[in-house]
Formats: sequence, structure tokens, C-alpha cells
Amino acid sequence: MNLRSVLLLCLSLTVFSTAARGDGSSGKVTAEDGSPIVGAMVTFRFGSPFQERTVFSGEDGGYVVSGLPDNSDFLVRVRRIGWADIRSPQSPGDGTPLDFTMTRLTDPAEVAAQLPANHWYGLVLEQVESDFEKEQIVRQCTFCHQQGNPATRLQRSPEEWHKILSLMARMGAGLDEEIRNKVPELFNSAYDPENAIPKLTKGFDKPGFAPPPDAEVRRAVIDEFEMGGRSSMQHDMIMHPNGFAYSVDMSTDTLFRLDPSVPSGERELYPIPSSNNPLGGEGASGALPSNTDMRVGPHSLQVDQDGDVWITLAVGNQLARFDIDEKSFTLEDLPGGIFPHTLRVDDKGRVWYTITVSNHVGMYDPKSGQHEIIRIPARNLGEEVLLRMLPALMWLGQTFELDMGGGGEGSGLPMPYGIDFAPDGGVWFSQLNADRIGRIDPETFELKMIDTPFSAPRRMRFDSRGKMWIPGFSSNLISKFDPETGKFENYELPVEPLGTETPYSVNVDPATDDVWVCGTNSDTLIRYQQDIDKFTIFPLPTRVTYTRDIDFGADGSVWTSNSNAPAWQIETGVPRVIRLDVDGDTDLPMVSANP
Amino acid sequence: MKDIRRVFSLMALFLISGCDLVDPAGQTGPVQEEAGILGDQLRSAPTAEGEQLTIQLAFAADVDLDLYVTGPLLETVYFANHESKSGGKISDDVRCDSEESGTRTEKVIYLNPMKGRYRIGVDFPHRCSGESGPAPFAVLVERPGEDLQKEGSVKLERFEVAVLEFEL
Ligand code: HEC
Repeated sequence: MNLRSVLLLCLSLTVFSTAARGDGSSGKVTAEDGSPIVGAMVTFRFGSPFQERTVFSGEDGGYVVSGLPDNSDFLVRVRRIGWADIRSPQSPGDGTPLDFTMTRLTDPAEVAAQLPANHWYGLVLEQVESDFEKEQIVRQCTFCHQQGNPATRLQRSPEEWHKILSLMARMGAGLDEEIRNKVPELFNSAYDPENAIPKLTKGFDKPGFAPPPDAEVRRAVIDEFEMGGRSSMQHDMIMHPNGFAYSVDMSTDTLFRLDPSVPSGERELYPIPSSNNPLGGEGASGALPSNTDMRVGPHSLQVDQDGDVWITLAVGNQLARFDIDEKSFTLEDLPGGIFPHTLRVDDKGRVWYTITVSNHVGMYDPKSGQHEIIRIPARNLGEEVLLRMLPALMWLGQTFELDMGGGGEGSGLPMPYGIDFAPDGGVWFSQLNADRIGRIDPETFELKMIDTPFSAPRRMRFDSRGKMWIPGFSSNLISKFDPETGKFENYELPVEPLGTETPYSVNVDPATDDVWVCGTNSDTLIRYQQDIDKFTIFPLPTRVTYTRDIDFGADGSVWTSNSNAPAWQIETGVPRVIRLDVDGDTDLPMVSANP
Repeated sequence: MKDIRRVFSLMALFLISGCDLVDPAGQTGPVQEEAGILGDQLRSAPTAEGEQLTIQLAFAADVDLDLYVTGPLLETVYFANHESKSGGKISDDVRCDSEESGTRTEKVIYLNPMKGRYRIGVDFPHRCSGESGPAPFAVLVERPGEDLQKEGSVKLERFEVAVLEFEL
């Protein structure tokens, strides 16, 4: 803790014992018998579109929140697993402490309902004996929305399940027929309240149940900024060196800019030209989400050396460059391939991007206009042939009626997915579904493939020491890969219940080399400090917080977005861009420190 | 076939989807005629009362079509999300194994509809029997003031997410 944080902490403590400051609030969270509630999340919502600022109560139940706007009304929510949520509208504060008394829940069903989705999904997974089947239902069912959240953990008739599975299959979540046939019984028995509730609330009356986060986590301040409309899918967001956050909404083809230094955040939005594409883009069959307005599908974004923002337009099959001063877009058609996905800009200003559906990696040099499309090997000849026939087959599918039986093959074709540069300039990518990573020489385009000793390598990143960190989406781990020795070291994620996490992405804090992991199915962000070999789990306040990428602010803050699709499954139904200030130490006016 | 299937699941994986225009202008033929008959049947038996908003989908017994209604809060009521926060409720899912013979209907009702934009989608997940080809459908929107209707057709395994959109 630096001197400034110590001073802030002292200040906050003094303030706490007297009254709240003009720009903040403080108080105490206690149980009905007066005992302190430790680790309660106290959330202040203000502004429209809103910002929600959350702090945790400390050892004595006290909390302090700073950096709130002066003349605003607030909606305060106090939340701790095992107690009933408190929701309390507040007028602008006069400095009087805001204390809350929470009521202990007695109905186990209500307690179970407070647990993150992964607890519920664990009940499904524990019944699946075959690793192959488990692999499929994790990998195929959790890449758009959580499993085990309130909308997905309902018991349904077998007929309804089958129709859901056939819809999901057309959206891309193919399960093998044998597994599909098991799903209704599997999910219904796991989610049967008679089974689920006693298991999920076992030990509720004992202190070890849903323990409060430790003191280090309780210092964190979490800000959530409402972003876009209620159908938005804020797929990825980045922090620009200019201090703004940029976020792309795949559902409405919009780039958003957020100025987080203004209370409740100031937003600008820039519609991306969609050149009269049909809904879903120029594509093939399948099913779109019912509330989508996607015509180009902005997916991922990165900043180049000039400060411009590059965006992959996944269903528009284009790259877009956004001039942040002119606030205008330039579009570049892909010369080949289908579905540009994740991108990085190298030192020479060249844009490298994975092209998932057609199994390519692309490179575009805006200075020379050069395009390269590099074909990534498939696993076998059959896949290779199939991938080459893809455009023709897609045309066929649009033109003729082919009854696919609503099915799909769960194993899936290989897809280049994450991408990043090694310190030596090598271009590395992961190949999802094929359990491989690869390296492309940036000058000769020579290609090398390496098998991963775990399944579903998703969005990977290098640390400053030249090691690559890879999340195993369906293997509940992160792995450290050393390109020099070719060795992998796996680290299992300690999210409880063990084995239920689906880490979509990692990023490495450039200042500390800490590895941050999306706790995609557990409403968390997870930090791994490699130097002390320690995991720390930061719970996020909104239920159904589904995250796909992480970025860092210049002040060390950790950023992500909630892109659960459909958004209506998100608690309150509102997508958000999220900032985690790990030690409550961000620059004024956004300061806070907790006792 | 297995491989073709893989391609299809893969294409869909990324939500690439072509939504052919429903019932392109000028198109006529047996499918359109059948859709017209379905529309007449819906109109002949109005169901909405008072201030409520009712949306009905009619289709023939040899297909399974599904009605999707997205309300102003952009939440969709359909066979897997029976009720939305903005108050929409869907009737029981009518499937190939349903008892009714003849024309089949699915209905969404909003008793106190919110103002705002509504979108109606129609999906054709399964053919129950009969010949291949697009399935005719009719949609009727009964709302305070004037009713709306739409007749068209949808291809097998195509989800037309926006066959009709309107403001309330
Ligand atoms: C490609 C994205 C995607 C994948 C992968 C996916 N889903 Fe979904 N799921 C959706 C969308 C979108 C909806 C809402 C349907 C709509 O918009 O019409 C949905 C809805 C549902 C619902 C109904 C609840 C609701 O809120 O409407 C259930 C249950 C469900 N999915 C289960 C599954 C299962 C089981 C799997 C794995 C086989 C799966 N999903 C995989 C996108 C996906």
C-alpha cells in the first residue's frame, strides 16, 4: 500500500466514525442482533444511464464509498449471500451515516437462488460420467450465456428441451445426438429443487458457508456502467490510452465510448456503417438471437499507434478503422475467409486477426494495402476438404432446403481464436476445438502448430517475460506456455465448486505481470499473481455477469464487459462495462477506501 | 451428410444467418394462397379484449412453427421463455405431437402492454409430415386502435427474426 492509500484510508476511517463526506457515504451493515456483516456488497446506483459503484463492508460491518456525485438520488442495494437483499432509495446525502440491518434468510430455496450460475451447473456436471460428454456440454453450452443462471436452470418438459437444443444447435451449439437425448433427464434431475436446494445450501447454518471475501478483496471498488440498450451484446471493450473506454455492441452494430471520469460516465455512440446488409450479414442458414439488429457484427477492437481503433466486423467480413478525432469509420473488405474475430496491431501498424469459421489468420498492412490470408492446418484431410468447400456449401444451404435435423457435431471444426504477439514479434494464436496453439513468423509467414495438454484453448496473452497464458475454456484451468522450452504448466482455477468455471479469456497486467482471468460462469474476475503463486477471486455484484475479455486502465484498474447473450438473462436485463479498482486506489475524484 | 451437418452447425456457430425476405413483393403461388387462408381464419375469430395486446401465429398441421414476440424491453417471449418482465405471456407450445388437427395457433398476450417497439419472429424448426418447401403462416396483431396482419412463408430451419415490427 503506498503513502497515498494510507492517507486515504486514515481519512476514510476518520470520516466513517463521524459522518459521510459530501461526495460519498458511509455506514454499517449489521444483522438484526447487531453483529457486523462482513463482506456485504453495498452498491450505489446513480445517473441515467446509470453507474453503480460497489464497495464491501469490512470486519466491523463498516463501509465507505467515495466519489459519488453531490446532488444525485441513489438507489442503494445491500447484498450478502444468506441475507435478503436490501434496496433503498436515497436522496442526496446530508452526511448522516447510512446504516443497514439485514435479515437472515430462512428459506433454503432463496439462499440457493443467490448463488452464481456455476454452483447450479456443477449439479449437472457432477452427473456426467464421460469426460467426452462433459467436454461437449461445457464447451458447447457456455459460450454465449451462462448455464445454471435463473433462465437456464428451470425444469422443462423433454419436448421443450429438445426444441431448445435444436434452436441452440442452429445458433451453433451442436451436441452429438446421444448427448442431446440425455439432456432433458440430466438437466431436469440436476435442477430438481429436491435435489438442488439441499445440496446447494448444505452447511448454510455453519460459518464456512459462502464465506466473505478476504480483507484484500474487500478493499476493491467495482464500478458498473450501463452500456447500450437491452439487447446489447458488448462483446469486447478496451481501455484507450486517452482514458476513454471503447466497447463494441455486436447486437446493434455500435461502437461506444465511455468517459469514466464524469459521474455516472459520459457516453458517445457511433453507429457502424452496415452497407445495407441483411440481418445477420451476408451469410447462410442458422438462427439469430430474436432481438438482434446485427448486420456487420463488431466483435473485437484494438488501438493502433495513431490512437485509432480497429474493429473486426464478424458478419460483415470486414475490418473497420475508427478515427477517434474525426469520429468516422473506414472499412476494409476481407480478401477471403469467413468471420474475422480477435485482432492485434503490431509495432509496424499491421493488423493481425483470426478468421474463425474458415480456419485462417489474416494480416492487413494499412500502409501498403497488403493483405495476407494464412490457411491454418486442419486436423485431418476430411476437415481440410470440408473447410475448402465451405463457401459452396453455405451457398447450397441458402438455396436449397436441407433438413439438418436441428443437429450438429459437438466436436466442431478447428477455429483460430485468440491471437497475441510474443516479445520477439512472433504471432501466436489458439485453435479452439483442435486443442492447439500455433505460431506464425511475422515476416516469412512460416507456421508451426503445437498441441495443448488441455482442452479448448481460448483467448490467450503473453506476459512481459515472454510466457504465454492460455485459458482452458472447458478444462477449468489456465496454462503457462514457454515458447523456448515448449513446456506447459497448468494451474487449476480454485473457483468453488471446483471444476465449474469456464474461463473465456485472460489478460496480463503489463505493470505487475499478474494474470487476470474471466470467471465467466461464476460472476467473478480472478487474479493469479505468478510471483507468489496465489489466486484471488473478486466477486462481481451483478448476477449473470458473463465476461469475454479483460483490459487495463493506465491507473491499474481492471476492465471488462458483461455480454451475456441474451441480455435479458442478466439481472436487471442491462448490459454493462465494468471497472474493478483492486485496492480502492484510483485517482480522485473516484477515490475510496474501506475499513 | 454428417459433414454437411458439421458445416451448418459451424456456420451457425457464429450467428451468421441469412434472413431471406419474407414473402418478397410480388410473389404469388400456392404457399401465399395458403397463408392468405390462415390469415382469414385468424381474422374471423378475434380474441383480444379491452386494452390488451394479442399476437397470434397460425400455421398448418404438417409443420411446427414457433412464435417469438420481443417487447419494448427487448426480452422475447417464446416457447422457452414463457413470460417476460414487460408482461407478455405465450400459450402452450404447439408441436408436431400436439393434438389439434387443422390450423394451429400460438398466441402471446400482454394484458397491460408497455408503449414502445414490438418485433414478431417466426421460426420453422421441424416439418411434421408432408412435402418439403416453405411453410405458409399468418400473423395477426390485435391492439387498441387498428389491427395489423402479415402473411408469408418461412423456410425450414430458418428463423425469420423480424417478420413484422410495430410501435404501440
Ligand atoms: C451461440 C450462442 C448460444 C449458445 C452456444 C447456446 N445458447 Fe442457449 N440461448 C442463446 C440465445 C440467443 C437464447 C435466446 C433465444 C433467442 O434469442 O431467440 C438462448 C436461450 C436458451 C434457453 C432458454 C432461456 C431463455 O432465456 O430464453 C436455454 C434453456 C438455453 N439457451 C440453453 C442452452 C443450452 C443447453 C446450450 C448448449 C446446448 C446453449 N443454450 C447454448 C444463445 C446460445
